[in-house]
Amino acid sequence: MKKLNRVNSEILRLKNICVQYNNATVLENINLSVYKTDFLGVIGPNGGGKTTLLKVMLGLIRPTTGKVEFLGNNPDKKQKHMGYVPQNFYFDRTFPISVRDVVLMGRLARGGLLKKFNDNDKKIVDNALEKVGIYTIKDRQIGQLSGGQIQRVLIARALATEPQILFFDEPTSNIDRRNLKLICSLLKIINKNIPIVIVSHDIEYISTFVNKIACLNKRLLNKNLCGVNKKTIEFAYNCSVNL
Amino acid sequence: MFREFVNQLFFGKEQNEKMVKLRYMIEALQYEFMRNALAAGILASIACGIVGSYVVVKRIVFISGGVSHSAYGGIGLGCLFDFNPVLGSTLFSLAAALIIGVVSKESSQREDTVIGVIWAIGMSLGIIFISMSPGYSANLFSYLFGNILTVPTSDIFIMLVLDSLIITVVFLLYNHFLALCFDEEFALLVSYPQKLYLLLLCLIALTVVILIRVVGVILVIAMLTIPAAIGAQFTNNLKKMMFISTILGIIFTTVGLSISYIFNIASGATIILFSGITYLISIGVSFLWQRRNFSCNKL
Repeated sequence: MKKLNRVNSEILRLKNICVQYNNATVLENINLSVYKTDFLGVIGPNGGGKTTLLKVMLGLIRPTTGKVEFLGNNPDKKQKHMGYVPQNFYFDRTFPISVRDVVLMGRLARGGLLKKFNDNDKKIVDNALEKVGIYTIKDRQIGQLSGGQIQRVLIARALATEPQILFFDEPTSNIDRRNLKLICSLLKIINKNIPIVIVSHDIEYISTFVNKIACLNKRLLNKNLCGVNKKTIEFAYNCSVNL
Repeated sequence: MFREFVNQLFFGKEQNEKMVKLRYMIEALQYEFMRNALAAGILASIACGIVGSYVVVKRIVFISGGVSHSAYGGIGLGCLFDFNPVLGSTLFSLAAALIIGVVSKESSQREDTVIGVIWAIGMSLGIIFISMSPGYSANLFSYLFGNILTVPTSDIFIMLVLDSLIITVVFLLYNHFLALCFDEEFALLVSYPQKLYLLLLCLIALTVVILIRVVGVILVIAMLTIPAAIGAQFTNNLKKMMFISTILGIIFTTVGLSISYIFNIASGATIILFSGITYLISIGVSFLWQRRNFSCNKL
């Protein structure tokens, strides 16, 4: 029993989280734990607070009430152990930066404000590029990449931070199914070492990859994060779904 | 008619006169004011090459305009109370940078509105201070449009100090500035982008102070953006872009200075006009280059 605890230790815990924007309640009384082997899918309708929940976990949004514990600490400090792949990555396509330099940015999470990149950083970045399969285009300017490739660059950047947990916001929004499948199988490999939290409204697809699901519509609708359950999902969306 | 003009310029009767003037130009290097002018050009180019690259890639040209124009208030204050206008412009441009940075990020005000207001307040303060100061200050025109030929040696030292400050800060924080410019949300995870952003605005303010002497309050944004914009067309690396735009800045200021000296026209405007024309040509060249590549690909 003790051994099992060590293998599947708790990485992140949310305690009674409430978030309000200008008196509008976005999240209400969320209690949630993420364990080391989890591949957690957070699903829910638009405006259900999925992205807000993710940002609370990342420490980018301070909850109105409640507490976030990351490896037993408060993530109010800089989140140097969390990898984050954003939803809508708006950037200047003409920005003078190469793919490799974007991924190198991930290494800024390790080291202070005066961080200079050393050979070890470059090795880790090259490994991350290799892992997501874009090593061959590492010297290209970022604007020349397709949506799927940019998604991979962002994953590589998140991996380069050597995270203890990986957050993924709406992977289905920008890429086609084939690329999504490739990325999801890539995430499965990553998931052997670190927990992944993925936010999506595309339940049908996400349910085939994750091993836990949290249905979110202001409140958490399934308290014990069971596997995929048609009933809860239908309750969350208030309509019937095909799984 | 154009041909006639060119002939006259280079081959005609006036040729000798121009050659003589060019020789004057070289002889002029013996004079302190000319050496100072060249030094000011080089120092300004270093600052605007480095900081201007950030201005261009982060798309904060309008902010830089606000910061530079509000420096006019400081110049007016300097004239009114009879201290070095460079000091006044430093204070005012730093204050403008901080106000714009803090108000636009922390309050719900629209950023460009805030910039426009600060821009106008700075200018108005300058005009009021100057109208209150006794006598007519001919010097003020040179602050509006720049006069590289009147830079005193003491100002060269101030520029040198500001340049070293800018280079040191950018050298130390280069990677974090890059992250801030490229992806602010990610920067939020690894550093303190709000504070870094304010620091970047302060660097812009210091660059503005350096540039005012060379091209004047009104033309500062041109000097900040044109070399960097040309540089951006030739590289995909921010460091190289900084290097190229510094070199271009040195060429622009030196050639512009020489042209203005030979033809006896306003130096700041000449420098900017020369850089602006080069920029337009570089756009044309890169457009043709792309079209050529495109048609090659099609074949």
